[in-house]
Amino acid sequence: MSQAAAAVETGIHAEHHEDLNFLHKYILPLDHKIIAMQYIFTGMIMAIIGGYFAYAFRMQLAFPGELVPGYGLVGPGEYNMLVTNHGTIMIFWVAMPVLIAGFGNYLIPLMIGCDDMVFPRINRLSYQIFLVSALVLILSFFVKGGGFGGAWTAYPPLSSVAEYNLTDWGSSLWVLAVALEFISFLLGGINFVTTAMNARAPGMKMMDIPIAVWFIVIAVILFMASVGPLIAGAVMLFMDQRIGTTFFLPSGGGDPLLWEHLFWFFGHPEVYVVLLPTLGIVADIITVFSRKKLFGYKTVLYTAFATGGLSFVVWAHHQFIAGIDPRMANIFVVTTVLISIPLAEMMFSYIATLYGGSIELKTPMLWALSFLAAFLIGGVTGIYLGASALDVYFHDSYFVLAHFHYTFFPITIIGMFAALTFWFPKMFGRMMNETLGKIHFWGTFIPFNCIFLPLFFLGLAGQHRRIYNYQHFPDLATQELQNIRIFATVSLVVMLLFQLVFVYNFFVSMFKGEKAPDNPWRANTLEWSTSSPPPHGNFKKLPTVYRGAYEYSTPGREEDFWPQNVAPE
Amino acid sequence: MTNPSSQSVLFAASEVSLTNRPKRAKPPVSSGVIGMLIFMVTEAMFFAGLISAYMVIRSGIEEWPPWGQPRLPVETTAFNTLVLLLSGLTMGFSRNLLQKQKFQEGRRLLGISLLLGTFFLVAQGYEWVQLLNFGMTVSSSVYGGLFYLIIGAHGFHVVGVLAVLIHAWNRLGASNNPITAEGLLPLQLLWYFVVCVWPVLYVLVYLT
Amino acid sequence: MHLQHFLLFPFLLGLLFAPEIANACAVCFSSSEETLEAFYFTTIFLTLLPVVMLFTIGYWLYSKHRKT
Ligand code: HEM
Ligand SMILES: [Cu+2]
Repeated sequence: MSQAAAAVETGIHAEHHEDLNFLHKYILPLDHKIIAMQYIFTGMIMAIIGGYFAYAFRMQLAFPGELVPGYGLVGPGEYNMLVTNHGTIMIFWVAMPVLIAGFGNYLIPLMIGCDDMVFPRINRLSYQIFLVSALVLILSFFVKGGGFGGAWTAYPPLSSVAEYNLTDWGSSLWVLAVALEFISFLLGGINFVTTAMNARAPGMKMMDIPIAVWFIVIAVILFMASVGPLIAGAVMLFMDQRIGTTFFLPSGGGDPLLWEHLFWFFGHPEVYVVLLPTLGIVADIITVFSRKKLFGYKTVLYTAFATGGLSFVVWAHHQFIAGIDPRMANIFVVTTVLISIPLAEMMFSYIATLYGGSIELKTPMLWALSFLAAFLIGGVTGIYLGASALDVYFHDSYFVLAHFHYTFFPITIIGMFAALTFWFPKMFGRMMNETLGKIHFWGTFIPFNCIFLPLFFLGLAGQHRRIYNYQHFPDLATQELQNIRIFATVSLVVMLLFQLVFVYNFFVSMFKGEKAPDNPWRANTLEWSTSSPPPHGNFKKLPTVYRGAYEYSTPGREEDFWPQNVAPE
Repeated sequence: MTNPSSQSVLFAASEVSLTNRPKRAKPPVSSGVIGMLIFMVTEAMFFAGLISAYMVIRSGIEEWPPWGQPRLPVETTAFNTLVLLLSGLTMGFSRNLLQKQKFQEGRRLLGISLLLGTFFLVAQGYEWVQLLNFGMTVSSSVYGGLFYLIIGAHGFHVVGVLAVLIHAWNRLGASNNPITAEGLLPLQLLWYFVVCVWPVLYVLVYLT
Repeated sequence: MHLQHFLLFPFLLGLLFAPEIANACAVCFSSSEETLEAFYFTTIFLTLLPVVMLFTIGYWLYSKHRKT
C-alpha cells in the first residue's frame, strides 16, 4: 500500500511524515511535538522577561528610589508599565502557551494514541500567530512613550485615552497583541477538541481518556466559549484608542463599566482555563508516583464539568466595589462560594488517591504535591474575597495579590515544572538529574512561600496594589512594613537565582543526561508505550486500548502497573 | 535526514512506516464539522458581546438616534434581510443536490446563493456611503460607532465566508473536482451562521 | 432538623434581593434604572448563552456517538 493511501486511512496528511529538511522540521513544522516545543520554549523565554520585570519592580518596592542593579531607575510610569506587562506576560504568554498550547499539543495526540493533530496546518498557523503576538507585545515596550501601564485588566478610560495613560502606541499595541494571542489559541483550541473527539486509538472509550487530556479539552472549551465577548471588547477598546469612538467614555455616551463586564466575563473563566490543565497533569503524576488508581475518576471528571459550568457565573466578584447593582453582587457572592465546592471535592479526591499509596518522592511528585498544598491556600483565601462585605476592604489590596499568586504561581510555575520534569524523558529521550531537580524544587518552593505569605499581612495592614512607592503614605511607610517588603524581595531574588539550577539541569540533561528507557516511571498511559523520544508519527504501530489509564497495583497482577495498550491475557 | 545530531534530541532515529496502521472506524461526526461548531460557539459569543455592548450603551441614552444623526434605512434593509435569508435557503438546497451527487445543479444553486450574498453586501455598502454622506461616521456619536462596529463586524464575516465559498465554487467546476458535499459542509455551516445572526442584529440595531 | 430551619433557607435567599440601592461608588456608576436593567439582562444573556450552546452541541454529539 502506498504511503498516501495509508495516510488517507488514518485521516492524517501524508506529506509531513516524509524526510524533512531542517527548515521544515524545526522552523515550519507540522509535527505536533515540535509545535509543542516551540510553544514551551517561547513561553519559557517570555517567563524570563516576566521574571525580570518582577525583579525590577520588587527591588523598587524594597529600596524605593534607588538604582536597581541590572535595570536602572524605576519611576512611577516605569513601575506601572512593569507591573502591567508582568501580569499580562505571565498569564497570556506563559501560563496559556506552556500549559495549554504546549503540553496540550504534546500530550493529546500521544495520550490518545494517534499520530498527529487532526488539522496540522491550523496548528502551525496557530503558533505563528502566537509568535507574532509575542513580538508585537515586545515591540510595545520600545515605541514612543513606552509600554502600556494601565494594569493587565486595562480598565478604560485610563486605557483608552492617550492623554491619561501617556502611552499612545504602547496601549494600542498591547490590545493588538492580546487580541492576536486570542486568535492563535482559538485556532489551537479547535484542533484540540476535534482531535480528542475523533482521533482516539481504537478501543479508547470516553472513560479511558487520561484526566490530563480531559482537563485540557475542558479548559479549551471554556476558553472558546468565554473569549468572544472580550474580543468584542478589545475591538471596541482599540477603536476608542485609534479612531475616536467613545464606547467606554462617559462623556461621549459610553459606559466604562461595560468593559469590566466584557473583560471579567472572560477573565474569570480564564483562571479556570489555566487551572484545569495543571490539575489534570497533577492527577496523572500523583497516580503514577503513589502507584494507586485515581480515587473517583468519574467524580473528578464531573466536578471538572461543574467547575466549568459555574465558572461562567462568578465573574462579577471582581467588580464588587465597581458600583454594580448590590442585588447582583449578592447573587455573585453565592455563586462564588459555590464554586469552591467542586474544587474542594477534587482536592479530596487527590488526597484520597495519595492515602495508602506507596509514595515515591521523585522530583515530579514533589512538584505535584507542592501544587496541592500551595493551591489550597490560594483557594481558601479566594473564599474570603468572595464575600462581598469583606471584599469591600480587601479589594485591590495586597491580600488579593497574594491570593491570586497563591493560585497562579502553583498553576503556572509549579505546574510547568511538574509537567516538564515528568515528561522530560519522553520529550528528549534522557533523564534529568534527580539531585539537581530536588535542589531546584526546594530552592523554588521555600522562597515562593517567603515572597507571598508576608504579602497577605501587608494586605491586611491596608497596603494597596499598584503603588510604586509607599513612602508617600505615612501609615504604610513604617520600618516594620518596609522590613516585610525587603524580606519578600530578597526571597524573590533567591528564587530567581535558583532557577539557574533548573536551566543548567535542563540543558545539560537534554544533551548529556542518562539515556531514558521508554517507560521510566512505569506509567500506564499510551505515550509511555512508544520510544523516547517518540518517532515522527508517534507510534510504530497504532496502539489499541483495553482499559482505563489508572490501573495501578491491580490485585492479582505481578507488576504494579497495567499499560492501557497491553492486551489482557 | 539532513541533520542527524539535532534529530537525536527530538526524534527517535527511525522514521515510521505508515503501512501497518489498523483501520479506524469513521467518526460519527466529521472533524470539520466539530471544529466548525466550536468555532461557531466563539463567534456567537463574540456577537453576544457586541449585542450586550449595544444594549448597555443604548440604555444610557434617552434620545436615539441622537440629535443631528440620520435615521437608519429600515425598509430597504428589511428587503436586504430577505435577500440574505433567501441566500441561506438556496445554500441548503444546493447541499441537498450535492449530497445526491448532482454536482452541476448543486454548483448552480450554490452560485445563485453566492450572488444573493454579494447583492446583500453591495446593498449594505451603498447604504454606508449614504449614511456617511449624511454625516454619520464612527466618531460622530456613539450611535454611529455602534452601528459601524456591529454591522461592520457582520459585513466582515460576510466578506470572509463569501471569499472562501467562491473559491470552493470555482473548484467544484473543475474537471477533477476534489470537493464533496461533506467537505463543503463546515463552510456552509458558517454561512448559515452569518445568515442567522443577521436578523437578530437587524432587529437590534435598526428597530430598537 | 426542624421545619424552621428549612424555612430559614428561602428567607435567607430572599434577603439577597433586599439591599435595594446601596451603591458603593457614586462616581463611576450610571444609576439610571434602564442601565441597571440592561446590565441585568446582558449578564443573564451572556451567562446562559454559552451553557445552552455547549449543552446542545454536547448532547447532539453524545447522541450521535451513541447510535454508532
Ligand atoms: C475557590 C476558588 C476561588 C475563589 C472563591 C476566588 C475568588 C476571588 C475573588 C472574590 C477575587 C476578587 C478580589 C478583588 O479584586 O477584590 C479574586 C481575584 C483574583 N483571583 Fe481568585 N478565586 C478563586 C480561585 C482562583 C484561581 C484558581 C485563580 C487563578 C488561576 C484566581 C485568580 C485570581 C486573580 C488573578 C485575581 C485578581 C484579578 C485582579 O484584580 O487583577 N482565583 N478571586
Ligand atoms: Cu474570579
